[in-house]
Amino acid sequence: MNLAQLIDYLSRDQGFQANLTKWTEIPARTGQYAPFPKAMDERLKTALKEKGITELFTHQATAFDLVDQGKNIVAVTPTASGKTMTYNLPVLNHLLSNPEARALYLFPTKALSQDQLKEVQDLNKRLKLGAKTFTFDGDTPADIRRTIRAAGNIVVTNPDMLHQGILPHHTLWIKLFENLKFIVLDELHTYRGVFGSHIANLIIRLKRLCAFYGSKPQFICSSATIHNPKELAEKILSEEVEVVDNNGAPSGEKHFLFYNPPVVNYELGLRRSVVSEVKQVVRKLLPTGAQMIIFARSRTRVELLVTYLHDLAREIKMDTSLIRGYRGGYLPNERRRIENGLKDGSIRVVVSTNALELGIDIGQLDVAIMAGYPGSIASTWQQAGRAGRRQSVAMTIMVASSAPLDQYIIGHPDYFFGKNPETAFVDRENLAILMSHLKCAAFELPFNEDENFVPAITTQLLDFLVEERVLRKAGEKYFWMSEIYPADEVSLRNSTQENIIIIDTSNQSKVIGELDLFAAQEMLHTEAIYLHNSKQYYVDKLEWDELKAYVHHVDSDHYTDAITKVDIKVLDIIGEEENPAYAKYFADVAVARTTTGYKKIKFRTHENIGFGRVYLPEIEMQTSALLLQFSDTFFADGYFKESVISEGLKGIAYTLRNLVPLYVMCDTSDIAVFSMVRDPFSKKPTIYIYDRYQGGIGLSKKLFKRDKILLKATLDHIVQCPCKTGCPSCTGPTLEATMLAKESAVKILKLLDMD
Amino acid sequence: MNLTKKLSYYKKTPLKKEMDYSPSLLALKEHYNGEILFDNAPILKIQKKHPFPDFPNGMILIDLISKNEFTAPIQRNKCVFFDLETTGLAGGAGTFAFLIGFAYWQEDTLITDQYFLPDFGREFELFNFLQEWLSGFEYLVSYNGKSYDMPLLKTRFILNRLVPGFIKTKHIDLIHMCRRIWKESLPSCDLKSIEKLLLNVERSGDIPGALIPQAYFNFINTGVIHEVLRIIEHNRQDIVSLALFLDKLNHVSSSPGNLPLDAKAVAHLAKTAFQANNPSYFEMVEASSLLKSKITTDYKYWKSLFLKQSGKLEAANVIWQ
Ligand SMILES: [Zn+2]
Repeated sequence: MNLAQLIDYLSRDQGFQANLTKWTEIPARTGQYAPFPKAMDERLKTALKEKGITELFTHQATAFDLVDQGKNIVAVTPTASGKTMTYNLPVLNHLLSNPEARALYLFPTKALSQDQLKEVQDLNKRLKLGAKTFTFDGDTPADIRRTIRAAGNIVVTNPDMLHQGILPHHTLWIKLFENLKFIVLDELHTYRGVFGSHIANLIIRLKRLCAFYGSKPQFICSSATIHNPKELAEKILSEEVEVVDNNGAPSGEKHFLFYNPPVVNYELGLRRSVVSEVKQVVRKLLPTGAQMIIFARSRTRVELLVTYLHDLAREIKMDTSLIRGYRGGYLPNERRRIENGLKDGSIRVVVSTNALELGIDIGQLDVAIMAGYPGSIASTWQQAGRAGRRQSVAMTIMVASSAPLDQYIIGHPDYFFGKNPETAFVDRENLAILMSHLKCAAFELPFNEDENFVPAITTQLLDFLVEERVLRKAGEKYFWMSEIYPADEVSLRNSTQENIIIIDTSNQSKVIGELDLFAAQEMLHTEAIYLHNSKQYYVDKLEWDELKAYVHHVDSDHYTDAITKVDIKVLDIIGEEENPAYAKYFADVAVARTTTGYKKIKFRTHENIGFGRVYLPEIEMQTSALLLQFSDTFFADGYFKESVISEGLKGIAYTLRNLVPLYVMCDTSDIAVFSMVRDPFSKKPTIYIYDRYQGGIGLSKKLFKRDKILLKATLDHIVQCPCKTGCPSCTGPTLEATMLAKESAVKILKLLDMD
Repeated sequence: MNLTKKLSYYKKTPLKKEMDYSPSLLALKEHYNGEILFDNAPILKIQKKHPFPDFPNGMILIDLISKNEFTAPIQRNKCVFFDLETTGLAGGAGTFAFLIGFAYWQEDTLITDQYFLPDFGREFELFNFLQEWLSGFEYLVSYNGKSYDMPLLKTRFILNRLVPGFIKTKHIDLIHMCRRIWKESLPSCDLKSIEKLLLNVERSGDIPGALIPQAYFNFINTGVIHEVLRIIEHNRQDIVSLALFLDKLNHVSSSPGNLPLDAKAVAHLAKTAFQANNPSYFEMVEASSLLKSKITTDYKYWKSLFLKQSGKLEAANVIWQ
């Protein structure tokens, strides 16, 4: 049975169909072509013809023309659409007539940057251009570094290396900076949130140095499909950018299936586990000989799935070496072997983290399976894009978990297949991030009084650093006055926030994970039952000052629910809007939280079987928040007793938090939502949505304009959930107290009248 | 333009610049009887003469111990010795050299010129001057300058939009030669150890290198000159030692037998002679008085190799009997 036959067979398999919420067939698409642009050098045309390319895809031609006109562009293209040509062609074309020119290629990860040179090198050889192309990263040997600095026409690197290795030593890179013509930013949509904020600052630093050396490079970016590629690119580059989205690449027929594992416990909202369902799906697929990629959300999941699938292979007498895992932590050589195995067909099934989501070259496969929703539509399409050869049929299966976000997506296929509503946000206003880059910039080049590193407030920030004696103002310039090498003090990846390390004393004191301080208070306080990879651990001791939690494995009949005191103080209202139902505020807030105790709750019965006290210091965070404050008349109905309002708002808060990533690209851990029946100042019922990042990162700011759409999704989701009184997939786990969370939440949301 | 800015221009332009140097700069000038250069961006020049009657002028030959990097005899008075004191050890564009010390010979007198920058933003005129001045020398001599001082100075020139022409000048970095001969004799191949073991110089009250950046920042913030005095002394001692050390190397090169070398260093010289296949030099090493009392296995090894190389197999075998 081949894949096409299997698809036919599955379409008649009632048991399988029962678990599908959607089966969409995306018809094959023919390519849209355009002739070689007029401005293209004849030599480049000849080289392309030698490769068998006689015309370009429409988006490649548009990109070429816009770049030729001196525009910055962001090309929005699906996987496997000849994206690299959108930047390689203009760059090589320019190099043909300007052999001294330089281009800087930035890829979000080191692994990616090492994979991108092949196409350039091939064209380079055909063109006899002699353009020198190098990867520059932490592994580059010292003697080669010298060559790259002096002679590399195309330097391929990652943001971290640019930040710590290149910019602070720019005087070694004069040739690059003086002749820099293009900066290529691949996978732009990954530069969002905290990381995006760092990158936006990094780009300003880069541009500042270019200006010093007299160059003004053009930007060529690529992005997965998101709602606001232009806005994102312009935020990151602080320049105008044109969008190129007339994708002309052909694609084969594709089937996209939404698979929801059957419910096993309505009360708890529990469904059959993703891992075992994936195993069942793979069992059906293996006999077709289809080559498959399975995406799992964590490294442990990858290993677990590989174990399951190896069992399966043995059952059906298949060679287990045909099934491989792929994730961070594997050695580069091993990764290369797997990538090549996928290309030459010697590996049939690969289970991977999102490490294979981005552009690493593994060729095209037949089937992509997602073990759990990848977290964003953009990621899902990128992962789905791994399946699909131009001539044959391909299939993508998304298997949902019980998480609210997964359940929303699986229940709303139209949301998924419509125009992507996910916005990527970048905010340069986070003071901590801004300051650290301002310091790096001052280290790299003294600031002039009239410089504009960040609009309007540069001088004020510089003067502050003078007061702090980090800078010295002499004449009209600000000089770096510290022994510190500031780029070493900032990592672009990790937030500066501290984490608690979790140590399993029942397993040779192995570190099993880490949690940020806020989460740790609630989940890792002494005597808590901590759930990790569906195993239970008892927390023997939380060493707050040492940032360590000691746990051991247990089989407990109960779990713990932390009692946390939250204080929010509004520091400054920045924006507000009155609606009949609620007033909406965007504000700077100070959040103080302390976990003061916990309840022991029995599994299944939810019986409260005891409680304990916890003594932990208060943690404070200054951040930004969106406040929804209900009017006095809103809860006029006698149904709304205070406890009922409280439960309803809590349920809404729980759902809201989990659904935020539908509209603003982030992880649920980036945001916190909580509610109060009586806000201490206004005395009104209030929902607070705040950025869980010191200084705020622009999330709630973005949500300020998207509250209605989000609340509407919240209502839809709660109503559609098959549970009766609320469950972890919608309004949250039901506690023993009352059973009104779901009902009350729905009543409140319906009253809001969001049309 | 706002009023404050207008006033600041008003203040600047029409009046003839008065000598309103900072009190701390004046105090330093006083202390060293120095000279303040460049009115627009004042810095302090401190010159001192060090007579060394036992060190007559002459040619320096370090072909062997530089492994033929410098084959031609070097005129000693064409060498300029230099060393920087900086605001950090990490390097990178934000590290600033606030004290630049030079030493050069006039007959048997060593002259040190130290340029102290009492604040940031005062490099341009000095660099312009140095660019010209340095072109009068044929060799730059430093200790670890190839890896540290030179790139740093180059960076500072670039930041001031000047082309660092001096980087084309021949550069003798003595650290490599020191390592070649004394890496097993010295606790560490730094200038301080060299002074102690080879030059009979004992420093007192020297400021540790690691404290120098903060000491300079303290000076900028408070104007207190005490620690700066220590830095200037430290820097001067460094460049003087550099000059003396080159002379020492010259002796090692021309007449190793007359030097009070330790056994390990002698073995390294034997190795150098073997690698250069230079019989006359080997004889000189062999003549070292030390060898009468103490012959190390390493030395024997290199000697036997040397004899083999010269075709004296018999003699080579005898060594090991
Ligand atoms: Zn539910």
